[in-house]
Order: sequence, then structure tokens, then C-alpha cells
Amino acid sequence: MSLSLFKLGQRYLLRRPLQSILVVLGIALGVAVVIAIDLANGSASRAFSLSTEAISGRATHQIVGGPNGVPQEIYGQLRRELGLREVAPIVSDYVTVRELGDQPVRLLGIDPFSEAPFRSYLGSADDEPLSLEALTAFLAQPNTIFLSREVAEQNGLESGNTLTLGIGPREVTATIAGLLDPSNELSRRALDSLLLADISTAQELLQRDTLSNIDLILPEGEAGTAEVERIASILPEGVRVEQPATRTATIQQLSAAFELNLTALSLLALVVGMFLIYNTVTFSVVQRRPVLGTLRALGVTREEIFALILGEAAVMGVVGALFGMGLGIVLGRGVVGLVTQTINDLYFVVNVAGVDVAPTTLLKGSLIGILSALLAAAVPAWEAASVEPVTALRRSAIESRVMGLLPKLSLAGAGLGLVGLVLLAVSTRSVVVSFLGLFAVIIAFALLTPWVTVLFMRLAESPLARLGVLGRMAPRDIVRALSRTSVAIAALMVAVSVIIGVSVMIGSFRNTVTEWLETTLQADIYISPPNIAANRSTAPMERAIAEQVASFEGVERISWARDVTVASPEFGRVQLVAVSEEVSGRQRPFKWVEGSQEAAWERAQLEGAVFVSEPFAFRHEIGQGDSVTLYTDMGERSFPVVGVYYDYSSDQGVVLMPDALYRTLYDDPYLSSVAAFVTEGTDPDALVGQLRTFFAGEQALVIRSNVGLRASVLEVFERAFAITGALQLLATIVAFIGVLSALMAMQLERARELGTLRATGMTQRQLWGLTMLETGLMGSTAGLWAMPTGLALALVLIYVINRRSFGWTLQLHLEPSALVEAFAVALVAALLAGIYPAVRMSRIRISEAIRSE
Amino acid sequence: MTPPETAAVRVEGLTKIYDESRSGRAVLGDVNATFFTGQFSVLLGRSGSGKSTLLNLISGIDLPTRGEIWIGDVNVTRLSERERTLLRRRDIGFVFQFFNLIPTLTAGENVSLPLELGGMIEKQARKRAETLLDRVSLANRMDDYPDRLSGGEQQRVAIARALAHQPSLILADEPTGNLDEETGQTVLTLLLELVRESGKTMIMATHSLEIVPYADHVFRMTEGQLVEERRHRMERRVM
Repeated sequence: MSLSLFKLGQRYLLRRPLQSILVVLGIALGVAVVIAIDLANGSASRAFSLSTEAISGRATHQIVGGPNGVPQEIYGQLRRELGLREVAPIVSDYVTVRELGDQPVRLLGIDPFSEAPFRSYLGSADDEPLSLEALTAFLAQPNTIFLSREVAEQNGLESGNTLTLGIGPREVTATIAGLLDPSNELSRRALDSLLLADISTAQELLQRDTLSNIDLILPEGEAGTAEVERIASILPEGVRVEQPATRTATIQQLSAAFELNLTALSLLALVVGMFLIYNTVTFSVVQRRPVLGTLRALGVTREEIFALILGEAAVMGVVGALFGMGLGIVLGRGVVGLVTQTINDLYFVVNVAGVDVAPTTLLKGSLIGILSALLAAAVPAWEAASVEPVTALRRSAIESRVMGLLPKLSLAGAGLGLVGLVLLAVSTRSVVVSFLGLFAVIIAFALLTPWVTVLFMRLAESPLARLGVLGRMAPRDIVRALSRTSVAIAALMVAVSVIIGVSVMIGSFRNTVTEWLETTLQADIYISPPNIAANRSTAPMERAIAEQVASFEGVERISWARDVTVASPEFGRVQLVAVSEEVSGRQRPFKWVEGSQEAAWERAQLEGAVFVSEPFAFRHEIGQGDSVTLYTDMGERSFPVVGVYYDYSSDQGVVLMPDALYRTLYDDPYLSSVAAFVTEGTDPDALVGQLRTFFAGEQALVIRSNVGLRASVLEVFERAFAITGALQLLATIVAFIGVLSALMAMQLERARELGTLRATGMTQRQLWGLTMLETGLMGSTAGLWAMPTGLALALVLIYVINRRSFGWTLQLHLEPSALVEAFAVALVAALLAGIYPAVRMSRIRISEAIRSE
Repeated sequence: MTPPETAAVRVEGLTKIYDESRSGRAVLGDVNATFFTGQFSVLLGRSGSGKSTLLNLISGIDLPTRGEIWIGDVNVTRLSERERTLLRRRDIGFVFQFFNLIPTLTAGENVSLPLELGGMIEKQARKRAETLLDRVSLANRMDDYPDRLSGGEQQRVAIARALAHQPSLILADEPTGNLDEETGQTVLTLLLELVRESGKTMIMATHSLEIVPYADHVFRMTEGQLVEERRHRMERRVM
């Protein structure tokens, strides 16, 4: 492109600062949302990897066991019998620390004498050595721990201070023996969420006599394989050798679908932003039609015109992307809390100290932003380049072309909708394909928007005519500027349809979960130790607590459950729940059950069969006639599946087995939760109070009535969806900017018309009325058209995306209020967007406007 | 006996400076003139001489830097923005060079626009529009949108619109400037005929000397100054 063309583009952008700013803002917001979500997902993921990698250290293999861990004799055997030297025993679990704001941290018990080849928390050669006093206290004194100096300083703690640790139902105190300050960055970051203890101290604190795992450094290649075989030969049933990397990857996979859903939702804001770019670039082309015509007449080629328009869009894209990066980092800091909260609630424990600003994320987000800008600008740029100079893009020519294109556009919309439906209907488990189908459906509805707008305006004309000349003008003005108004309406419609779709999906989800809780939770009182995860009770609880509860006056009977993670040769890590009885009183809803529920339970108890939850069945593609193989303390065991039940507590799925069966297979004396059924006439709330009083001071138990438990489940539910609300809001803001930009463009285009109206005697107030009527109509059209679009979106989210992402069957539940609220959002957004243009229009210099072209 | 001439519009010491630079550019400099009731006055001058600015100031769509404008006994420069708008709606009709019809309103609706803005009910306004369009020989184009009309037809609709609310003052800014000679002549004849017939005052800005013979008064404008004033009595030629 020549320098003069470059200057032309540059001056145009500078002459229309507000239009340029709005586009830059639209791109910036879209890019920011994409970057923020990616940063949050990435930070959580990296924090988890770093902490697990840092904890695994240089271990190449780990010996792991069942729920009860690895017998510690094995450590001795490895050293003595096999002569292994690079072996380190580990005891670890999550605890909460009051002095650190009750956040979950990992208590890592190590043997300082075996540690050197694995980790360098206790100091490398470059570090300042720990004092002998601190080391002695760490090894010799009970309940002493090491803490990171950074964490200690952040929380106003120092060596010698006491920490209150929450470990399951117990609270214990530990003393800080010393502060660790490793120079190694990896170790430093790992220590952000770590308490280090001597292995015997950790065992005492956690009340266990087994090890969590044994770390090994084995040679690579055949020698390593041979070593693994040699080790495996001495291991008892239920204990095996794993590679830490595989384990980390498996855990991280848990939240993959959740993160993918967030990413898809974040892309929506960018799609809405693309409408804005398209609209603005079209406007810039139309506005400069004489200039473009002259340039063509002077010999500027079509390619150069195309490059000029695209170049301007690229400049705005780059500036928007740059701002988007900054905004994305700020937004990412806000969003990371919400994302990690949900990951902690539902998937695994991760502490994110800060947002990890990965350059790849910034680059990716910026490229997406710039490419979106170029893609959105390509059509108007092509139009500018392809039309002959004489007819060069008069607004009326464009409008008549759009009117002529309406049938084709609508057909294209219908076609794309069909493509979307095929993608959704195709038998695939790919969530990405499903989202492509979803996007196709949304774009299809957007392509139908011009046709719908014309239809709505024709319908509105007659009733609005009663308002007089302004009422007759408003719908016609919208149709007359259809190429502009319909794009703004489409942008707002997409944003609002997302609100409807996601709200209906969340509402349906909430309703399904509520109904499921009502049928599944039949006991009156639920007791469990405090848990790190919100959707599982895994912390061990002494059986004596269950007996104490059972003996309470007013308790008719109790049932209990043990929730553990075990390994499966086919499915990796599996959540196994063992129950003493069917707590739902046979009301648990089943998707499929072999024979009757009673018969299935009987078979489970007598023959050692299991039930699996719907997500488990979906994820692992198992069902009727299949079986599940698990590593037990008695070795590998296969269990026939006798039923698939609905369950919404975990998207990873659960294997459910009778407690009696569990106890024969696993050496695990603990329970995870107890459910109490009260006698007739007993007030559960009063009994909850009595139980709390009874256990106060001895056991930190969470004792809740049936209603209380349901409420807390729903609280976690709402928390999980908090981020979607924020994303919806951002998409709406981008759409709002789109409407504002479209209205301002319309104002510039209609300057003479508005000037004439004012010269003819239209007051500023009447002009305001006209603008508001027009924006109101645009908002109403967007709001009304968003209803079928949003409902389609909801159906896809409920029946396809949710199913393929999480394996859940949800029942559609439509609250009319969701539609009304969304309509109100569209209308209010449009009216608000109309305020500034209305002010500007009413202040228009009539004398200039009536002469303007 | 000829009735005494009364001033329909009076401008005194009218100055308009556009503050385009620090020094400002005077488009009108200390202009004084009187336009009499029922008469047709022409502001003759080249492009940029200040004719349109003077019309804009008289109609109140722009404000002078200094000086006063009187329409009858109303001092326009003392009115608020709203009062000036209402004054235009009530007392002034505009005819523009580029017709300035509202593209989303039919010919009939364009004519009834000032009536409806003033609160007249649609039915009555439509009836009045019908009468006026009939008067400009466009009764059959009542429901056509402007883009279906020729330039001459559009200007005839604009004339009907300017007269619809029976204003006492018609301001015409180069009304034939965008029409071919023959159509321009037809439109001019029609405009003058209607204005004379209803006894209205008309001030027309033009650069065409051909209009001069039809005027009662001719004001020549050069660089923002009224440098010459001549009086004609040629109306009989068109009446």
C-alpha cells in the first residue's frame, strides 16, 4: 500500500475517534474475556502441575496403594531386600490452617535423610542452611513443621508460632520449627501451599500408620522396566508402581470439560464483538464512498482498496488486542478466584497464588482478536473493492442490495442452522464438535435477523402509527438502515440469547438437582468431617462417631458411607462410594437397573455387584452387562454393573457398592459420613443442635439437617455458575457498545434528515422520542428474537453440551421470568445505548446538517 | 390606495462569526435589512456570500454573534431554543435546494409532517396534505416515497410541505439550484403563485439573476455585506 493510502486510512481513523474507540473497546473486551479465562484456566492448571511436580520432585515412579495407603514395611523392604537407595517415603494429605485463612494446604511428611535426591525444600548447596536448632526441633519435637518464609511473612507468622490445623473432624496444633527459603523457583512456588513435616510427625498428625506413597528414582529404558518388575514382585495385593506424570495428567483431565465450557463461553463475547467490527467497517466504507470512488477513478486498484480497509481494521484489531491484553490480565486476576473455587469445590485442590501471565495466552488471545477483526472486516472490504466507482456504495444502494439479499441471507441462515443441527446430531462425544454445532446454530439465527427485523417492523408499524408521525417513522427508519440496524440487533440478540440459554440451562440444572436431592436424600441428619472438596465427603471419620450418633435419643437408625478414590486398570482413578444401606429408601432415580431396585441391591450384596452413576457410565461407555475392574487390597477384582443411577454430585462419575462388600476388599476402618433417620415426632433441627453440642470441642464435625445439606449443595451449585454470569455480562456490554456504535453511525448518516426535521419544527424532545422509539424497537426486536434463539441454545446446552461434557441428563425447566428478564436486558441495553446518540442528535447544528450529504 | 408596508422581518446589526480559528471568520458583518409583509425578497449573491447564513439566522436554526432579528414583533435572538423551534413550526416554511424530504415518509406524510409535529391529528393532517398535493398537481403521488419521485416532483412536495402549516414566512434556499432549467422554472412559478395567492412573505436566497425580475426586493450580498438594495415591481409578469 502506498504512503498516501496509508495516510488516508490513518487520518480517517483519527477523524472519527469515537467510532474507532468503540471498535477498539469492543475488540479489547472480547480479547480480554478470552485471555482472562485462558489465564485463569492456565494458572489453575499450571499451579496444580507445578505443585504436584514439585512434590514429586525428581521421582520417576511412585508406589501407591488403596484408600488406606502403602504399608510402611514396604519402604524397609525396598531398601533392605532390593537394595534400592533412591527411595523416599511420603505421607501427605490436605489440611486446613486457621492462621492461613482456613485455606487447604498440603501437609507433606518426608524423611529428611532420604530426601536429597528428590526435592530441595530443605535447602540446596546454594541456599542459606537451616539452623541446627530448627532441624533438631523438626526431627525430634512432636508436631513441628516447616513453612515457607514468604507465606509466613504474608500472614504475619514467624518461627515458634503455633498453627491450628483442621484434619478431618479434628483440630490439632503444630509449631513452626523454621522457615524455608529455597532459591529454587519451583520449590519456592510449591511451598506456597505446603507444610513440611517429618514423616513421623505427619503420621501422628494425620493419625495413620501407613504411607501415602513411596517415591522412586529408577533408570530409564529396559533397566528401569526390569526394576519396576522386581519391585512389583515384592508388593502385596493392592499396592502398585505408577508414574507420577500419568497420575498428574489424569487428575488434571478431571476439570478439562469445565475449562472447555468456559473457553467456549468466553469466545461468545468475541463473536458479539465481530458484529461490532463488521458494522463499523461497513459504515466507514459507506461514509467514504466519494473518496473510494475518486481513488478508483485515479487508478487505485481493487486490491489496494481492499488492503486499505483491511489495514484499518487490522490497526483497530492490534490496538484493541493490546488493550485487551492489559484488561485480560486484570480480569484474569478477578476470574482466577472463581475458577479455582469451582475446581476446588468439584475437582481437585489447587492453590493459585497469582495469575500466571503466560506469553502464549497473550499471543493467542491477541491473534484471535486481530483475526476476528480482519474476518469481520473482510466482507465490507471486499464490497468496497468490488463495486464500480460510479455506484460506489451509496447507502441506498447497500440497503437495496441488503433487501435484495434478504431471501438469500435467510436461506443461508437456514442452511447453516441445518449444518449446526447435523453437527449436534452426529454421534460423537467431541465437545468441540458440539460447540461448533452450537455456534453454527447461533450464527444461523443471527443471519435470519434482518428478515425477522423487517417482519417485526411491519407488524409494529400499524400499532405505532397511533403515536403519530414519529410512530410511523421509527420502524421505517430501522428498515431503511437495515444493513446497520440488523447487525446491531443481531449482536444484541446473540448476547441476550446467551443469557436466556445459559439461564434456562442453569435453571433446568438447578431444578433437576433439587428434585434429585429430594429423592436421594431421605435421611433427616447428615454428619461428616469438614471436607476440602465441596461435592465429596472423603475425610476419614472414626466408626465410634457413628455408634455415638446411633445411640442418641431420637435417632431411629443410621446409615453410613465411605467415599474414597481407588484405582482401576481400565478407568484410572475412580471415585468409589460404599454405603451401608440405600439411603434414599429405594427412591433413587435409576436410568437403568437390572430387574427391580430391590433385586439389584440384593445382587450387589450377595454377589458383589456394583452400581455406577450416569456420568461414569457415559464417560467410560459402560452399561448393562458390563463390569468394572478395580484394584483392591485383595488384588484386582471385577464387578458386574447392575444399575446406572442418576447422580449430579460429580461429573467424573461414581461407583457405588454395598459397605459390606467394600470392607471385605479394602483394609479401611474409616467412614466418611453418617446419615441419621429420626424417630417419629423428633424434631431434626433440635437433634442437630444436640448433636453439635455433644461433639463440640471433641470433633469438628459438620452436622446438618436434610434441609441444611440441600441448601449447602445448592450453594456450591450457585458458586460453580457464578463465572458464567460474569461472562454473560461482558458479552452484553460488547453488544451494548455495538448498538451504541450503530446508532452513532446512523446519526451521522441521517444528519441531513434530522436537520430537516428540526428545521421543520421538530423539538429536541420529539427528536429524543424518535431516537428512543427506534432504539426501543431495536432492543425489543433483539429481545423477542433472542427468545427462540436462547431456547434453542438452552436445548443444545442441556441435551448435547452438558451431556457430552459431563454426562448428565437434565430435565428442561423453563421459568418464564428468565425470558422476561432477558427481554428487559435487551430493551434497557438498547435504550441506554440510545441516550448518548439522542443527546448528540438533539444538539445537532441544524444549519450544517440540512446541507450535509 | 396601497396599504402601508409593514415589516415582516427586520434584521439589525447582524453579525455572524464562525470561530474556525482564533481570529474568527465573519460570514455576515453588521447587516441591516427589512423584509416587508406579503412581499417576495431575493438575496442575490455568489456561493459563500452569506445568503444561506442570513436565512438560517432569520429562521432561528442558527444564532448571530451580534445583532437582532425581529419576525413581526418577536425578537428571535431573545428566544430559547425550544421557542425558536416552535416559532419555525408555527410561522416559517422552508424550501431547500436539495428538497430534504424525509425518505421514510410518503409524499403525503412529508407534507403533513409539520402539522402532525404541531399536534394535528393524522386524519386532518392527511386531508390538508391531500389538498396541498393536489394544488401542486401531485395528488396521485400521495402514497409514494420520495425515492419514487423525480427532482421536480420532490421539490413540489417540499413546497407543499413548506406551506402546509400556513406559515407567514417562507424561506427558500436556492430552490431551483438542483433542477434543470425548465423544471426550475415550473417550480419557481408554482412557488411564487402559491406564495402570492396566500399573501405570504418569502425570502429566497439564490445566485440566479433570472429570478430577479420576479422579486419585489433584491438584496445583493457580497462577502457578508448587503451592498445594494433595489426594488422591483415585476410581479405582474408571473401573476
